[in-house]
Amino acid sequence: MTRRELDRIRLVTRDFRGLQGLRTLVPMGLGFVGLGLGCLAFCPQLTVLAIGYGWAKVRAALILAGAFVLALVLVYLVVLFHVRAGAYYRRLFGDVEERPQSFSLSSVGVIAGAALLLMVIGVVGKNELLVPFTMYAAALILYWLARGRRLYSIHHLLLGLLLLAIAGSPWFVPSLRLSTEESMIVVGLVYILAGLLDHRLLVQELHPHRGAACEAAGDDLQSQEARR
Amino acid sequence: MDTPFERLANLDRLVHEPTRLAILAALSACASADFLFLQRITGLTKGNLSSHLAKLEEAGLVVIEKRIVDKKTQTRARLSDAGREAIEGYWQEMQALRKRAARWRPERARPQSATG
Repeated sequence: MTRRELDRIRLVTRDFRGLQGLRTLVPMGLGFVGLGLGCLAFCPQLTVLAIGYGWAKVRAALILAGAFVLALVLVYLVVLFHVRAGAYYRRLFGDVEERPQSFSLSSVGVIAGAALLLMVIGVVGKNELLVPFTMYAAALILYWLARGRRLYSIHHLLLGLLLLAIAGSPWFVPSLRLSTEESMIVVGLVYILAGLLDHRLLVQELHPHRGAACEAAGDDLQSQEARR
Repeated sequence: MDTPFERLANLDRLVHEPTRLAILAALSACASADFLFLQRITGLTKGNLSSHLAKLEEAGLVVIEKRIVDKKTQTRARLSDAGREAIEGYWQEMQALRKRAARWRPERARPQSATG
């Protein structure tokens, strides 16, 4: 049993719930993507509803009512996905009751301060995308901090930085300016990617056939002890 | 004074044994864990895990609780206060040993004094 192996055991146990990507980040990302697609498809009807007249106005109202029902269905599906994924993880990997984790307040303060500064820069620099993107990026970076800034969780930091880079890109390449709906889809896709990477990590670490070496090492030691 | 290797040999074997150390390491990182999770994280078979948990429970390091959930028995394990102390003491001891081993140099053979 190496120190690295023991570290792996402790980290996976400590972060077991956080690593359940299909239960947390993936449904959240699906929600964002759904909302973004919904806004892309239905938001033009708001203009029709506001300035249209006659049959066009009635049609826009009906479409928006349908969109509202679709949004409720989307929320239901996201919650269902979350619940089903929780049951899937329990059935496959068991359950862990977490210990309250200590959180470095100074790191949170630095991230919150940096996020606030970026938001101010976004407002002053007329880059309205930087404000929401900074919040979503800060959430991912805080996630990484909460896990003790470990290498195995580095994808949260990288994806957080990617969101910031996308938000800042219109300053350098103006054609990359995204609409609010498109930015929702991008954030959703990034969250889905982060969740899938978490899930992959958990499955790799807790695969039923993994750890056979550990058992073999234990058996070997026991047989040595018995021989003595 | 003991060499680091002599001290290593004197470590608590109940904790130092690899599979039990893996179980204790997992339990030290959470409030409690169920049997299936411990099986997955350590890669042990049911029988082997049961046997090691029984030894740890017997030594008072682990508390085993059985509950009925959805008409199925669920076994959960958690570290007792003594278990938490034992594993924390073990990590400290190992850290101290690592430092001592890094500093340790074999003693030079003493020159034999002339007799008679």
